[in-house]
Amino acid sequence: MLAKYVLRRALAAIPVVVGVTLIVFVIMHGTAGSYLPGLSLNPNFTPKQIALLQSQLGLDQPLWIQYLDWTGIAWIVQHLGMAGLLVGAHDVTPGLLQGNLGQSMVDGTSVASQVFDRLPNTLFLTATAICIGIVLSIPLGVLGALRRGGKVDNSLTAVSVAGVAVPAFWLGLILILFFSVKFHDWGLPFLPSSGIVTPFTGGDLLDRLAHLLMPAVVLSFVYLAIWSRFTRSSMLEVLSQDYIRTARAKGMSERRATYLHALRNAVIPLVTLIGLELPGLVSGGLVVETVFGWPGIGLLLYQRALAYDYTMVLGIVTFAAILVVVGNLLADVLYAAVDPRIRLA
Amino acid sequence: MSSNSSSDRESEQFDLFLQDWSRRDVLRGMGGALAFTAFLAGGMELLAACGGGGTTTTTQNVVKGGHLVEGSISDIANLNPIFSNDTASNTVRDMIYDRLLTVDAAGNLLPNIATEVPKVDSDQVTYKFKLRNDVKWSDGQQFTADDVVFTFQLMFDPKYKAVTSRYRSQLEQYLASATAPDKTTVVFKTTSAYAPFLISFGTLPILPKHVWETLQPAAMNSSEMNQVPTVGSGPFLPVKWDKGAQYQLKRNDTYFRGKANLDSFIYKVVPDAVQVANQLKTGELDVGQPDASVWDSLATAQTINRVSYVGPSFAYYIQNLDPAKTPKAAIFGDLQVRKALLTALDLTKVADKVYFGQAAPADSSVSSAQWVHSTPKTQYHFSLSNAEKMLDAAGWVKGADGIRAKGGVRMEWELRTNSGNKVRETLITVLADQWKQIGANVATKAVQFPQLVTQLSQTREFEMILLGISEGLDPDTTQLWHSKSIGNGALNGMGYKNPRVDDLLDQAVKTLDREKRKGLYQQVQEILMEDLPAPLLTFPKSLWGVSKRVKNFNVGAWNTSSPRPWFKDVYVTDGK
Repeated sequence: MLAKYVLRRALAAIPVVVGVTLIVFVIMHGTAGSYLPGLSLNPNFTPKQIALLQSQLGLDQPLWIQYLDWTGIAWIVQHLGMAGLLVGAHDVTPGLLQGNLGQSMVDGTSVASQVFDRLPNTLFLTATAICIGIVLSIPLGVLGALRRGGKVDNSLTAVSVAGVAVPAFWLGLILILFFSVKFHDWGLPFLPSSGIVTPFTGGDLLDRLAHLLMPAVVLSFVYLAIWSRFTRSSMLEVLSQDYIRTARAKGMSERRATYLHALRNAVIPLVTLIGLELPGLVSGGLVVETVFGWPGIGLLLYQRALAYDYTMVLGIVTFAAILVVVGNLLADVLYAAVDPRIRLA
Repeated sequence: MSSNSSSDRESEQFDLFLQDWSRRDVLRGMGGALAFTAFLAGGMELLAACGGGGTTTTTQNVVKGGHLVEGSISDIANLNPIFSNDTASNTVRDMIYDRLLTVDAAGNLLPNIATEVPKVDSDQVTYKFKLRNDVKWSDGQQFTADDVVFTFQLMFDPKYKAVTSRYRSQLEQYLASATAPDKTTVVFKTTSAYAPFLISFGTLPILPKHVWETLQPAAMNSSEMNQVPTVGSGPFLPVKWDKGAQYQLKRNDTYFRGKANLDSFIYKVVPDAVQVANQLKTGELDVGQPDASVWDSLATAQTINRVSYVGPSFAYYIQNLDPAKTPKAAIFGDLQVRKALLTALDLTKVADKVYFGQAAPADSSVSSAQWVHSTPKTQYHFSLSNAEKMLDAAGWVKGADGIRAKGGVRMEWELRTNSGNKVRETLITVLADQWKQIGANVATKAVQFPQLVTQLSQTREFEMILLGISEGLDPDTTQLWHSKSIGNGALNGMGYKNPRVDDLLDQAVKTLDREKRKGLYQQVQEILMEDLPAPLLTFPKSLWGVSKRVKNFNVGAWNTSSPRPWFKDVYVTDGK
């Protein structure tokens, strides 16, 4: 039963991935046309040279051929001996289906190597932020629930609203201004404002943590805001349940009733919520990475989108899309495993 | 991004990052006949290098050792001279690969690996370079004339056609042969007298043949040596590239011009030019190009020296003069209107307000950093009342709504620039505002850079476009003003046709005598100032913050991004 369910979900994921690649492909090429990344306005290039470079990069082919080339379908078709189906004679190289994400159109580097070289940096940042979010949001949410309507609760509410309302880039810049620039002006120890290590001299644990602190705090702020509110309301709901009242009636200590019985049940829905953030491990840090010059996947995506590096952007987005789909699939399967009702739905 | 060369800027874009691109080249890098490149998006104009910053080089009390961290808003893309195209890449590339000729701050050619700057033979097409015999590659191999010939073959020889070099079509057109009669002699023959050749290609960095010849041509395009070369000839050599973060280099102890003072050089990627200023203040960076908006605040930082100079770049607005492309050509086709529009602009105020004072009002059709620059006799001094009088006299009458019209054509149009470039987006608003005061109704619109490029150079369906141009070391402006550069990817989107300008530009490209050539370009500048097909607004300044512990960091208009012949003399006073 479960195996069948997994299979069904996996099959359903295929059109999602195809759809995502298709949409991104059309948007990228639709906005930029056959623009040669980084080169077109250079007067040193004659129209002939631009055309030559475009043809070497395959940008002169019809859009659907480019898509088939990029996905690797063209390669399969050619190897099945049906190359005649493809319009125009052109070199067909292995594509996505053959595990080839291609080369950057800006610098010729391998898309896969760029993505995988930066993946650890991104994971390091987002995982830290999620951990900070979890560690702080649960106690704060519980505190808010226990002191409902009190000063603590109200101020937590205000902070939560701010956390959702304040844009990450703004918060990031303010932190930089304060903890880097002003602290330096005041002669205090200051935090580095960008990068992952201090060039040349840095690289030890302390240096890495100093670089990590501000971006991780900014990134965790949103999580913190949402999750602490969620914990609070979930906790309030559980605290009013019959079994808690029963526990109290039995003479169980308030502390034990709250932290052992209520909290355990209150955080179960939170786990789902946190699970939904897992794809954000890869994609969630784009703005923060950009503000702090954090050399991760988000920064790469941002830079290459501005440079019209079609292949790099497509590669990153496809990679992220596959992760999201796999993550959701995993979550669904786990859900199905624990709750048989889901399997049949 | 800054750079002297026209080619460098293109990426920037990044400029990418910077749409830039980014933002953000040298002709020599590009080898081009044409010295211009429009900036990619991103606020790169502000950072364009130019002019001559120059302090003098100190040779006494030099401290050896230590490292220097330079901030850049872009990561490197490709360090191979036959591909590289952006400021960040060219800066790092030139630490690793050296070249036959180099240049000073004013753009004059100087000997480097070549023992002297060659004079063209009496046939007007032959250049003979004598090479030093004491130049070694970092793996101990001798640098020879074969390396030079090989580097050019990659961009020129049919058997390397799969190599996607940017210079191929130009070299196929203008280079007849490159040969090495002996180990220290290289002879180039151009197909005809071609003045840009020496400047554009004499300064191109040279690749080690023995390393690259082992690769298949197609494999060269994506070789990892394009980012991390294994063998070099410059003052520094690669240690490692942390993608998106920093590029680390160490001193090359066998450098032929003598060991550099610094042990290490780090090219660090910083999110933006405001952050560059912040990190200069905190000491995280030793040198970098801060944003103009924070330039004044840097003055209070005790540890920083500020250096600025007019760079080889300009911002200009392009008027569509072609009635076949837009009915607005009825407005711009009227010379009196073009003159009145420029007269209505307070360029000093534009430089002050939009560029925070870090730009000079333009006075010609090339920047003042160019060696051919002259100030034409015709100048347009800001006066709204004179502008109004000119329009009145030309028959453009104000209607009830305050908008002028003539023969049923209302004086209104759309002014576009590329989105993502804050300076330009501000500029179009300021221009529209100033023209409104003389009865023109101007709408503004920011569009994506690729679309703007297509509109300017292909479809030519636009009314007015504002862009920036980064000039190359060679002053040829055929791509901007020649009538053969209308459409087909070239930049005369105006549809400007003046046979006299065409003739002067054609002559100048064939004139190898520097003074004669300069005279021809000065005539072009006079005519363009009279015709005003696409008037220039400003010459933005290059801004540098340099830590006081850094000495001999002699940035200048033409010797800062590529090449930096002075860099080996840079030292840090504390030796750290």
